[in-house]
Amino acid sequence: MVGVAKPILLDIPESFETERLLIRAPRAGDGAVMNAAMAETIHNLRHWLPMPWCQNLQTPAETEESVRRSSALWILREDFRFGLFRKSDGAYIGACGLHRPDWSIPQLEIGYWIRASVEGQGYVGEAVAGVNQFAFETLKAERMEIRCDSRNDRSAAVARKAGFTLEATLRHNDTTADGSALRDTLLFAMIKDQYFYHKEHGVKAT
Amino acid sequence: MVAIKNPMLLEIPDSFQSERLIIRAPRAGDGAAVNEAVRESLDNLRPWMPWADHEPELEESEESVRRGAARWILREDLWLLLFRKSDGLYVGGSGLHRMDWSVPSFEIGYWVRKSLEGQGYVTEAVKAITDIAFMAVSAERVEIRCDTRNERSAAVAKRAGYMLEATLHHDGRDPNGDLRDTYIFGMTQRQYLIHKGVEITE
Repeated sequence: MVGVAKPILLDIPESFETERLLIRAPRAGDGAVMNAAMAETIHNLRHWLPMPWCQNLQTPAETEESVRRSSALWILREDFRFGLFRKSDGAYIGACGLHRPDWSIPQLEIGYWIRASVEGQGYVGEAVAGVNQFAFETLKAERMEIRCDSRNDRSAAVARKAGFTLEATLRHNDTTADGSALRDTLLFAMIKDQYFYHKEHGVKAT
Repeated sequence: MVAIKNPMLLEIPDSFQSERLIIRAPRAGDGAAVNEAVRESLDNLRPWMPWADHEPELEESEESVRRGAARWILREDLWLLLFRKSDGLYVGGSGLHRMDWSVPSFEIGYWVRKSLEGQGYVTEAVKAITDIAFMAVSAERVEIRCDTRNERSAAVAKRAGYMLEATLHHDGRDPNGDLRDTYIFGMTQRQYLIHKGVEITE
């Protein structure tokens, strides 16, 4: 038997740390800080992410509801959102998540965004490395994916730097985030052997 | 009081106490305690509870408490576990179920483990959960339903001050597949406040 038959019975730590970040599952009460980060960043999110909360800024109450819903999805092992908190001052700096799990493999997809005021300091790379390690070592993933709009150079750079391999450019497989035109999607992936090879020999950016 | 538009944003205490009990939402790790009590009580539960039709595996019980924790957050079902304060022993299950947030109304369900029957734990829990429903969750109505042949369950509803509103004839089948009648006991917020001696201003 491969895969995970009953993911709800996996005992999964709800938080872990990287050098500068506390990475943890959402909790009731996180809505306010998350909403403030979204407000600051919505002009960036709108370009690349089609989800309604990236297109139109939520109210703090809507964000709080979504935080609570995601803590339930965490327990059900259906979706893993993580908040990124800077250790030095506790500031909420963005999110990184494990989405669309296919437990029969297991495979998950990493998503991420960073608040506008702390861009360019390597926090996303650090978070992706941490969440990827969590996926391979704690969730026993066999394969991980990162997908992004082909024009989103910064997002693609994160995937390459984390050692993911570009497997495909899917032409016209989606619409742009605002729905106005067709777009191409970059599909990056890493498999388990690749992850442990990188771990032993150092990550090679691709 | 008015309908609750977004129950997910309602702050509901997920742990509270009565004289002898800690009453709280399910958590990961509670499966073992629940499993042991269900196994001990299966003969008593089987005639009344459709879910008590087999000996649950430990993993099944653990899965169900984890699902219960998620449904709590989503406000779809508020399952409550009863623990004895003196020694932490799991006493049985209760909760606020089948809610209609537009009223809001709830149904209280309950069972007690076989070895602790007859000591008033269920009545104590039902009274405390009734308080939470009306005071913390602003219920307008709380219901208790049971098979008309389940005299002990009906006695709990009466002792907790609920009023028999109806006997529904042949409205369901018992776990053996035989037609059954159901008692509906109800309590309104007004009735609750009068019981508690709260002065009501119109």
